[in-house]
Amino acid sequence: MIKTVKEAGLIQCDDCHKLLRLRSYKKRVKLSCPRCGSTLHQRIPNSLSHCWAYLITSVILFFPANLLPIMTFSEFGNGEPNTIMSGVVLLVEEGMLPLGLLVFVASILVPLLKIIGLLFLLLSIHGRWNVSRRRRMILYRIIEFVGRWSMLDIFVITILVALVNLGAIAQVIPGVGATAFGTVVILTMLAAHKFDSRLIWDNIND
Amino acid sequence: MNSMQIEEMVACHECDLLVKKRPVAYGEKGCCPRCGNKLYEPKKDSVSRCMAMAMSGLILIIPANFLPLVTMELLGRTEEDTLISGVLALYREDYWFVALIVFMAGSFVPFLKLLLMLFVTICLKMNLRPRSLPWLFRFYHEVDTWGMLEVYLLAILIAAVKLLDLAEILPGVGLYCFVGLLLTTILLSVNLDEAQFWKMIEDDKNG
Repeated sequence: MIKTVKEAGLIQCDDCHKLLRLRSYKKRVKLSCPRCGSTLHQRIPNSLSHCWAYLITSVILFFPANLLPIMTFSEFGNGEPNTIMSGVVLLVEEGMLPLGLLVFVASILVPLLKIIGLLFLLLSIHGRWNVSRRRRMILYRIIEFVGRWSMLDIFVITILVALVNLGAIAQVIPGVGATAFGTVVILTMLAAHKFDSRLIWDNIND
Repeated sequence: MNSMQIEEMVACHECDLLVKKRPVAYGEKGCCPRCGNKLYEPKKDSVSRCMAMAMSGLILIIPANFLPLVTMELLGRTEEDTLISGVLALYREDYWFVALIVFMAGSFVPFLKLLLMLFVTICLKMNLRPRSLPWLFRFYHEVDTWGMLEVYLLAILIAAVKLLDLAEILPGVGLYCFVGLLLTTILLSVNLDEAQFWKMIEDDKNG
């Protein structure tokens, strides 16, 4: 019989992973870890609500992030504001296919799949869907791992803005989309961070 | 379950499974049989190695932040980019929020991590037991996700390739320091044995 920490009447510290006996654990009583001082809880409190909140906000911001220009690259006074997608198209047109592909994956595909993946995980827990728990766990790990790489475009803009500053000859100016895009990346990272993966494995005997 | 039995168990923090601890040698690791998460992986000389890496990292992080990562030559003019000048350029364009994100992920969090690690390892080495020690190590773990040096390095490459047609792009001294810094932070996280650190912090408290 597989036993979890919760079923054994124990509690583990989320920060230092110390296992403790649970004597008088009540939902409203705040217990703290004797080793590291962190607040103890069997599952992250309101994990799903927090995750939903971050996720919905990032879905809303996903539109301005992709539709508004993230930067303007002007050479000798000519240059149009570029969105993320038009930046990718530009890279491909200039013959830099692998690079365009990389930016496309990091900036468009990853955030989109992350949002869809987290939605799927949240719904699967709410609806008690009968999907392989191990596969959902792999999905969660991928989401957690790739999140940071979406910040790529923000860093590229930063470097270009600092480097290409030659007035009339060539200049790069950031666009409003950059703020929205950076916020989307931060929010999806927070959503994944708040998601308690142990919820995937709960109610395994149902 | 009594406390002796609890000592023999280890919990998977990703799926909550209770697993019996098994002794493993250096270089081996114990994984959760249910979800595959790494439960423990003892590292040799973890504290000393982490201290060494934190020290070298702190030395490298200063030139990595302030010396030019890349320089661009165009029509006789030279422009330089450093980690900090990128942040300042965004700030001057009134994109303070993006500037803050870049500053946090590229400069401040990596610096904070190294500083915290150096402090914690020195305390452990010298058997000092300040009351803030558990809190500081927890804080290290908390900020860990938000340092993104490796992403920044890829961004430097992409920016350089984008500008190749336009101008001459040369690597700067800062770039070598930056790569060195990245290597030390990777080596640090590879050599970090958190379970051992926590055990030492706990023993400090009792003894």
